[in-house]
Formats: sequence, C-alpha cells, structure tokens
Amino acid sequence: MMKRKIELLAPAKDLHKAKIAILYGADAVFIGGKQYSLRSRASNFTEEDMREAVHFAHKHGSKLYVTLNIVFHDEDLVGVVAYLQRLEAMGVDAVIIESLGLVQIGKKYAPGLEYHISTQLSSLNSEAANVLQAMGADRVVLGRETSMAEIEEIARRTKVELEVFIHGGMCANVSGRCTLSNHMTLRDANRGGCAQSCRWHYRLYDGSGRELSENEELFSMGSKDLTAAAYLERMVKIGISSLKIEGRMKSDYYIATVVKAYRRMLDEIAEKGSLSGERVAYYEAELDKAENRPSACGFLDGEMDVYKQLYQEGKSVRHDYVAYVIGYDEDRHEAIVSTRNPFSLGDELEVFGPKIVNERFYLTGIKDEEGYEISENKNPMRVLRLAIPFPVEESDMIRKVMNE
Amino acid sequence: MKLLVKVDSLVLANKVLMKENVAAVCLPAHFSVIELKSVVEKARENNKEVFVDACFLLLEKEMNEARNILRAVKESGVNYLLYTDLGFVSLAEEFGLRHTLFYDGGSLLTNSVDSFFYRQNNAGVVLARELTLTEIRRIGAIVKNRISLFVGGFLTMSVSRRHFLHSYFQYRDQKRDTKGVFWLEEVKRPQQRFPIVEDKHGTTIYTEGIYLPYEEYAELSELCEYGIFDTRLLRQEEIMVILEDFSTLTSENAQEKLRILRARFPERTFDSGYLYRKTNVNK
Repeated sequence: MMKRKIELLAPAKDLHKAKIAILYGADAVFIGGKQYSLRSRASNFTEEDMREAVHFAHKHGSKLYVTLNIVFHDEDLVGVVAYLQRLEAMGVDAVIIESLGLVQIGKKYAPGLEYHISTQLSSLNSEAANVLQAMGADRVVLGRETSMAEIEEIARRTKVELEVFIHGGMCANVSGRCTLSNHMTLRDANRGGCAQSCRWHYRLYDGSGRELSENEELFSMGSKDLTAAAYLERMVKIGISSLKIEGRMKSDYYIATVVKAYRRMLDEIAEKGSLSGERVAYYEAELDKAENRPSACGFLDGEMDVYKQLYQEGKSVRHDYVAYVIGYDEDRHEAIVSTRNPFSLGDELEVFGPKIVNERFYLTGIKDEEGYEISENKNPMRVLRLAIPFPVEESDMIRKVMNE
Repeated sequence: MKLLVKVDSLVLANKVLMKENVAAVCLPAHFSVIELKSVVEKARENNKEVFVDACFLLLEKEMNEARNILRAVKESGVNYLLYTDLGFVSLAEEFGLRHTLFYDGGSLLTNSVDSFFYRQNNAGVVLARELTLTEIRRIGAIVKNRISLFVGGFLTMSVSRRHFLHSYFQYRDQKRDTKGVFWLEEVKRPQQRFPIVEDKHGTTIYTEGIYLPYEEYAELSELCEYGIFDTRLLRQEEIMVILEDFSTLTSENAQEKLRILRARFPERTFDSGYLYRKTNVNK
C-alpha cells in the first residue's frame, strides 16, 4: 500500500458504520458518545462500542476521534473530565471540541488525547489558527466558509494541523452561530437538537410589509451539499492534514460509497501526481450514487451565490442499494446477502467493496431462506442467496445499475 | 454594572453619551480615526468609555481590514475592541492592543469554564444570549461576576457569510437593492416576523421580539461588569425612552414601566429572551 500523506476522515454513527468506513479506506473515523456530542439523533456509541471501535481502527492502522462538540452549558459539564480520562484510557486518539476552557483542563487531566478544535468555533483565518495552537490545539477544523485560495493561504501561514471539510451537508449559517432552531422550536442547535430551520420555507417582506415571495417560490436558506472532488489535488499539494467527510446521520451505503470514492481519488493522486478533469467527473458520478440532495463546491470557488442555494428539493432517494454481503459460498458461486431494497431476476447489479471496484453482473438466480428459487425480492433485511459469477466478501455492497 | 450602548451613528453616540446612566458607547468598526477621535474626546470629557464593535468573523482575505480597524482603535484612543474572531488576538498583539480586547462569543459563551478562561485573557467577556437566568446566576457566582451581559435589543438568531437576500432575488430573476431591513415569516408560524439584514459580511437574522428584561434588570445589574444595550433596528425615540427607563428602573416599578412602554409602542413585542426559556437537546 502506498504511503498516505493526507488523512481521509469519515463519520460513523455506530460501530458497524465505523468498521465500514475503515474497511472502505478511511484513515480515521469520528464518532459521538452518548453525551457531549452534536447529532444527538444519531444512535451514537456506548463506551463498550467505543473500545471495540478503537481496537478495530488501530488494528487496521486507522485512528478514532470522539466528538465533544456541543457548546457546553454548566449542566453539561458534569462528568466531562472523567469522560476525557476514560477516552484517553481506552486509546481514543483525539477529541473534537469547541470549548477552549475544556481544552485547557483536558490538557492537564487527559494529556494523552489530541485536542482538535471543532468547526463550531468558526476558524476562518491563519491568525485564529495560530492563536488556537498557542492555546493548546493540536489541530484546527476550518470553517466551511473558506475558499480554496484562502485555505492555501492559511496553510502557508500556520504550522498547526488543518482539517478541511470535503463532502456532505452544509450549514447555511456559520456553525455555532445559528440559533434559529433554539428560537423557533426550543431545540438547542448547539447541543445536538438542530431542527434544521434553515431548510424551512419562509415568506419574505420588505420594510413596508409588502410580500416579495410567492407560494411557488418561497424563501429558504437551505444549502446544497458540499462536494470537493475537483479541489482534492490542490488540497493534497498544500499539505492539509485531514480531509473530512460530514454525515454522522448517514447510512452504511453512503459511508462506503463516499469513502471509497475519495480513497480512490487520493490513491490516484498519490500514484499519478494529479487527477484529470475526466477522472474528477468519473468520481463525481460515483459520489452521486449515494446522494439524495444536489451538491456544489460550497465556498471553495470563492463565490457563494444562488447556485449554491437550494430552494426546492432537486433529488429523491434512489433506492439503488439492494444488498449487503454477509458471506460467499465458493462451491455454489452464491453471495449470501442481507437485503436492503427491491430487486428482480434480470437486473443488472454492481458490486463494490473494500477490495472490489464496481464489478457488474446480471442477476440469474435468487434463493430464499429455505433454499427455494424466487424471482424477486421486495423486502429489506432478508437473508438471501444470489447467483454471482465472481467471488465477493463480507462487507461488499450490491447496488442496481441505474440509467447512465 | 456599567451600561454600554451599541449605536450605529455618530449623532446617536453623542446623544447617548449625554445620558447620565450610560457608561460607554460602542460604535461599528467602519468609522474613521477622525470620527472615532471625536467620540472618544466627548466620552473622556464625560468620564465615559468608547468601544468599537468588530463582532464578525474574519476571512483570510479580510486581515488587512482587521488591521485597519486596530489601527483606528489605537490612533483614536478607543478603550476596548469588542471582538468574536480569535484572529484579533494575535493582530492586537501586533498593535500593542492586547489590553483592549473584550470577547463576545455570540452564542458560544455558555458556561463558567469558558467564561473563566476567556475572562483571564481579556478585559471582559460577554455571555451568550441563550442562557436562562438561573444559568447566568450560576456562571456569575463562579466567575465572581466578571462577566458582561446583554440587557436589551433584538437578539441575533443567525449569522451567515452567505447573501441570502441577494441569492433569493437572483433565483427569482429580480433586480432589487438588499439594503435596509427585510422581514421573514416562516410559513407555519405566521404570527412571527423576523428582521433579516444583509451587509458585506453576509446575512444576520434577528428575533421577532425585543429583549428587554425590565423585571430582572436590577438583578442583572448586580451580576455583571457591563450591561449591553444593542440599539440596532430600534428607532431613536424607542432608544431614548428605554435609556430613560433604565435610569429609574427598580424591581417595584418594572412591571408598570413595561406596561407603559408596550402601550407607547404597540407594534413592538418586548420579551425576556431566554431568561425563562430553557432549550432542550431534543424535544
């Protein structure tokens, strides 16, 4: 395996997804515990699961980071130092945290952890990054409002490790500085309760009370998602430490698809020194297989205009992920799978996995749980056998080939 | 408590400085050295202080703008720089202005550990507006009241580097000036309208109501170093009436004063912000 100079950092909301992220090529995974973490609706990790995730990550040469990225109120501080010490003891590599006060305390009582400053602190310039390093930060996660040119300038002017978002959902407002959800629903956006009020629809009025919106075209702050494939080569070349994929609420299929695509891009850049426009387009199509919302390059091109905003939903979930491989019967040439979405005999399917890149076949045989031949599957979570002309492995995924 | 009034014009600054109960004014960062000097002189004559408000996030390309602000602070003799971007910390050191730094974390400063940390390194710290009175009391007790609090004005709901109004008009193929105050109404909450304002730094959305804790004012005064009254989006008449009320408020007359205020400005909503509204992680 080639030497990896830049870290690919993936999200995981539970142990299974952490393992998937690592198997599909993540150099590090960030997770949330039951407390202190945004994305409170993610299932999140018990400490027992964390221990297993650390063990699994380290066994595969990867790292595990734990988020303590809520904006702490005093009531949240109870037990946090002991929690940091437990994370340190179980071998967690770093915590992602917004509170600089807690960083000082953590450095004293849990010095074996690295402290990565969360994007909740909205660090957008090199001076702030340098100040944070002086205050104990081992890494700074830059805000998503920085352009590529600014990221290059920040990287040039600071020695602290920088982490940059490359893929996933975008907050329309500055992270940590948005309390729309707090005001409208009493759900604290900065403590994991964000109601995504920015994606709601609003009527707009001018100062005299005249409505400027119309029912068919209401105002919204919703943002398209971020895809930075076209900027990856530049990020590698300027020495960014870590490239972050957002999405702790996402499915295993999403994690696998996105991690695999970026892993391949990074490996291709490392091997060939560049990524052509044609190859970027190919990988963007790969990423698109897991998307259910339009994407754009966010602030990276230095522009933030109407083309980055989302006023109406432009995509729907594609349901092309049909099965997760749990085993392979070498004698019968059958994949043993756990089903996810409907499929039928004659469908063209595509397998991808940690070691397999988009192998296609036409489905010629399906057997049910009792071994009877069937012609289609309509239900999720069934264990079936699929006739397959090449070997597969546990953790591979099977999707339908859609119109291209 | 010293009453600090955020104003957006020199005229208002000079007028407010004449009020006996006002200890300091805070001006936006766009004023020139000469303009700032004139306010500083007037403030000094009246034994008062001047702040400059630089509570916005700095992009790398805006560092020269930040340096110009610090240069103006230094040359004009302004007392304090209210800031939120930590980039100002190292820039202030360049200018020998570390002692002027006054941290306003916006919605981020919500606990005693961080309040203590930032207060050690700054001339002052402003707590988040999204705290209950109980939480403020607790933080005040732990950090010995070395905190500053928001005591009036529209509360900021969100800050974005995007230009939402401009984009929306572009989406609708409309050419329209985005200067001034617009209003948003969520389709399922037609009883509330939120002010939305766009400037070169992006878009800010405010609460529909004006935070005005008359009944708690006396207690808040005991809890903090500076009480901040932000006059953004308020009319001059409203500002002067509220300042007058602040000078005579007691726990006994607070309810009556609020009733009179509501009667005088019936189109406005006045509320106690988060003092009794506890937010949840999930609902």
